[in-house]
Amino acid sequence: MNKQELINSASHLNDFSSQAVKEYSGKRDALVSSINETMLNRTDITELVGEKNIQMMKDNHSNHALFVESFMINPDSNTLVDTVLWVFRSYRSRGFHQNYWSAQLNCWVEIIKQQLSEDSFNDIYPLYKWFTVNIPAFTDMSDKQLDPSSEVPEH
Amino acid sequence: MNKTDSIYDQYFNNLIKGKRIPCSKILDSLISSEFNVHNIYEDLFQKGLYQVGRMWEYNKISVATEHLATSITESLMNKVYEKIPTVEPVQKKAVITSIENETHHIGGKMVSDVFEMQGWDAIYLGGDTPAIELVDFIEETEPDLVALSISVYFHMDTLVKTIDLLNKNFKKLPIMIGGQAFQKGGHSIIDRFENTSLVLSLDSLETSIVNINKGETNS
Repeated sequence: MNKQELINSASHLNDFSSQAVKEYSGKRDALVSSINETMLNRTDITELVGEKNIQMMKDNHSNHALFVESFMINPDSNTLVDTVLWVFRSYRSRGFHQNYWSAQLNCWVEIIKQQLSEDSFNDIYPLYKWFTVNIPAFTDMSDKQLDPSSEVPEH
Repeated sequence: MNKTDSIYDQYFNNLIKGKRIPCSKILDSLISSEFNVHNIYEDLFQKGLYQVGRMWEYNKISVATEHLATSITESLMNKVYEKIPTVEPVQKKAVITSIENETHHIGGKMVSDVFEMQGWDAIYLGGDTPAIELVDFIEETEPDLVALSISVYFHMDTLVKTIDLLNKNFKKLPIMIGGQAFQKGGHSIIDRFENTSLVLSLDSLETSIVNINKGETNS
């Protein structure tokens, strides 16, 4: 799958109720705290993120929640794909394992299911499903760009 | 490769190695030959810092190196600022700041300098100004315009809340928005606000300010 196909596949992610946004926003700090706690309790956490990257993982969780909230208010599939690619490049280049993304996203889904109402969860879940389904495509695209033989693009 | 590319490459190679003095000498030669603040800000400082950001993204440099490059750029900007000719004041005032949680501040400083070059009293607050304190500051200083900078897209929701807060407290106060966050899109976010305009380059910023100075609207 190429970038344009990813953008097209995200174009239907544009219908989030104000109630879902309000709940996600109101519980954002608690959601981040929960995912940090759950991920840190994993025995394989250093294999997933690397020895020195625990704080970077926490930053990612905070940024993820901020981004999802912004995206629900202003859905923009170009921005979504560009941002996820940026995240994959930045974190993969620092040693985050491919399996981190599925571990993290599965954890987000469980936490949102537990802490948000059923209606809000059902509103938000398609976005998380999209993230999860497209992990291989994002990994493939970002890893090709991170190939040591490739130069850092100027733009 | 043309001459401009060659100068930029020399500058960037020194910037990324943390060599301030060679960077400063390159800047000196530009100032003495073809001094144009916009060109220096956009084609040297902004281009350099964007490239530094991409190198961090690809794990080619550390956060420490990124901060060093920012620090060098800031010191060079102060050098350019000293050379900016004084212009006749237009009796207008702008408050410029990065939004709450946004620590990147160089873009805002460039914006502030452009306002000054057009005769404005530019009050530059730096980075990460809490929205509620910005409201208090605007009440005290009564500017003609507020310019908000946002570099990281993750802060977009904070920007929206800040604009809402400013609109609620100052119904007719013009707001200019700009910054690297809009490189990835999000332009439509600004469209729904009245009295708020998106300014994506220093050239378009200058045009907007000139229009305001002539008595035309900025948005």
